[in-house]
This record gives sequence, C-alpha cells and structure tokens, in this order.
Amino acid sequence: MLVERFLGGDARAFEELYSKYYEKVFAIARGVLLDSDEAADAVQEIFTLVYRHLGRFDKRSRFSTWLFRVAVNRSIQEARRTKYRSRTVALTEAAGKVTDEEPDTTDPRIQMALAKLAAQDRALLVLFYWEELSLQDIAASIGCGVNAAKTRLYRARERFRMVYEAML
Amino acid sequence: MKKIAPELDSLMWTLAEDGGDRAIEEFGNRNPELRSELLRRIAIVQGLRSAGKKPKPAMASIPRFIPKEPRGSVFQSRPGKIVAGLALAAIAAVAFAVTVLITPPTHPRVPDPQPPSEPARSHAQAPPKVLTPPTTPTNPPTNPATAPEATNEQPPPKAPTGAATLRKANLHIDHAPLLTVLKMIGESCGVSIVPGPGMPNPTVEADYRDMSAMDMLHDLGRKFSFTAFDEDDGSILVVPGVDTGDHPEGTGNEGARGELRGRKIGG
Repeated sequence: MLVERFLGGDARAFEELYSKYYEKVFAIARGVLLDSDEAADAVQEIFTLVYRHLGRFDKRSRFSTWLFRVAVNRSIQEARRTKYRSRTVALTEAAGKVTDEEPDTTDPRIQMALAKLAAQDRALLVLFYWEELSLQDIAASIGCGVNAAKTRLYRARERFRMVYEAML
Repeated sequence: MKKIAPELDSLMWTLAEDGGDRAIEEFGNRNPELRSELLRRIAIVQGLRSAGKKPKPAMASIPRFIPKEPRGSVFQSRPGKIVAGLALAAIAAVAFAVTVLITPPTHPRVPDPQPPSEPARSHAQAPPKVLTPPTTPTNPPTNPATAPEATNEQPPPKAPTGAATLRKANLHIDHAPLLTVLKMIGESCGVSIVPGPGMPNPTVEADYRDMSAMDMLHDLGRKFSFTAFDEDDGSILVVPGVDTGDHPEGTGNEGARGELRGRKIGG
C-alpha cells in the first residue's frame, strides 16, 4: 500500500516506509557490520537505493523481503570494503565511548566471535536469530532456495560455535 | 569431542532454539553425556539473540532520511561508465600514437639480383636486419656504363649516402657461388649489390671480420677479377674486369670507372 502510494507520486509514503522499517534494516546492517555508526550510514544508503529503484520491485514477494535483500547485500558489500579494519580496536573504542546507546550487557565473546565470521555468515545469523525470519524469508532475502538457506544457516551456526567455544 | 549423530545434533539445536524446560530436561535424562553440550548450545543461542536486542538506539526518533550517494565504484553509475569509457579510449589512442612515433622506420629491402645457383653453407654474422615485404627484383642493367642512371627503371631505394657502404659486418662462407656471396654481402651490410652482365660465378670461400661491403668486394675483386663501384645511392655496381691502376690521374672510383667504361670489359 505504501509502496503503491509512493510509486503513485506520494512522497510522504516513503517517509512512512522509512520509519516503519528503519529499526529492522538498522539491525541487519549492525549485525553484519558490527558497528552502529557504520550501520547508520549503511541504512541511509540502503534507503537511498530503495528510493531510487523502488520501481524495480516486481511485487512477487513482500516488500519487506525485497528490502531485507537490499539491506543484506548492501551491508555485506560494505563489510567487505571494511574487511581489513580492526574490529577489535573498534569494539574497544566503542566500549569507552560515551554514546546515546544503552549499555551493552551482552557477552563480549559473542561480538568477538561474530566479528571473526564472514559477512555472509553474520547476515544469516542476524536474519535468523535477530530478525527471527522464517527459512523461506531468509531464502528470499539472500536469493537462494529454502534448502540452500537451511544448509548455509547450519554451516554458519557451526562456524560460529567453533569460534565461540575456542574463546572459552 | 566425540562426534554427535546428525539427528541428535539437529535435535539439540532445535531444543536450544525453541525447546521448553521440560523437553530439555527430558533430553538430558535420555542423553546424559550430551547434557553439557546442550547447555552450551542454549547459551550460544541466548547470547546470539541477546546480541541482536542490544544495544538499541535510545533516541526518541529515528534519524531523518537524507538520500545520499551510494559509496559504490564510479563504474556503477551511468555517467561514471561513460567517463571511464572515454578515458580508456583516450589512453588507447595516446598509447597507439606513442607506439607509432617511437617505432623506427623500416629499411627498404635490398633487391635480389638473381637466385643462387646452389645453396650456400655460410654463417653470416651481421647486425639484425629489418624484415620488409618482398620487393620486385630489378633486372640488372644491360650496360653497366649507362644503367641504372640511363634507364627509366625504378631506382633501388635510397640509402644514406656513404653510411650504407661503410657499414661493417662479419661474413664466413664455405664453398658458395660468387653471386650468392655478393648477395649475402649486400644483405649483411645493408647495401644493394648489382652484378653486371658477364660476371663470373665461381665457387668461393670467404672469411671477413668487421669489414665493409666495399672492402669485401675489393678483396674478392682482386681474386676473381671484378671491380666494385660505389654508386653513392646505397648500391654497389659490380662489373667484371679489373682496374689495372696505370692511368695517370685519379685513383678514386670515378677515375677507375671512367677507365673501365672506355675499354672493353668482360670475363
């Protein structure tokens, strides 16, 4: 509905889309990039892409699925660009930095284990555990079949477990 | 760690993700050796889920949407592609022009006076020659006194005067016809040697080191009774007969040539 309104020329409809999906897209970007500032920038780029190319949305899937696919691809692309940046330093600096965010009480080893994974693996874990998408939606979001998504998710989880348990 | 059966492995992940307390307790009772493994997986799943919930932006409203240029490559945009294509074309054009400018001009090939009568066994050691498309051999002039100047035939390509006949080369030949040797001298030194009619064609041997074409021809001429004339246009005319040197004036080529033109020459 919002999509059709926007495509029909209603500019305010896009602002509503942006507000509606901002947090989910931000969560995906943060899960892949592991940095809130980079994630915020990535979200702006993702919605810019959506703003420009919404006409290509063929409506065969839900808008959210299409949006998440854009978000995952763009976040992975950005993560590859910043692959060699030291995540450990960034996490350490972030820990001592005064921000608007609530204090992070999660196990730091989870973050460190996630940082050691490939961006594609992080994207799968984020979609499944953070966004709690179904396997069908994950498959649509990463552009593969359900069985392939299940296999990839299993492997990503195993890789995460191995890295995480190596830290214990 | 002992390898866990795939079905138990899958079941444990399911319990860790969605299992209730009772199901977990029951699994632990049935598989006590896997109880600790199951607890570890539950901790992993809880850790992953909690990492997704925190930290959450504490700000009251989400940031305003400001369309920004994606940080992609310049090649992703259409104007970027056009500019890149034009730049590549310009680079290619400049590279072609530079290549053409720095490539030295090819030297014209020496005309072939006549095919050798037998293959030569020789080792010509000369500077590398420039390969050019074959040219039509010119017929030797019927009269050495008038040809090639007096004819309308296409003259052999001009070479720098003097420099061509001064170019030195090494030549070693075992048992080759004289005309073949003359041809090889010409090719080695980069000059056109035009044998006159009636030139003898005996089998010769030669071994020259660092000598010009004229020096080689003078040496051969003494042995096989012919005379070489530098035509000053990059070619050397070779005629049968020897200048006896008993003319009173002029010891140069012109004098010797005039003397030869004035008398009967032949083998």
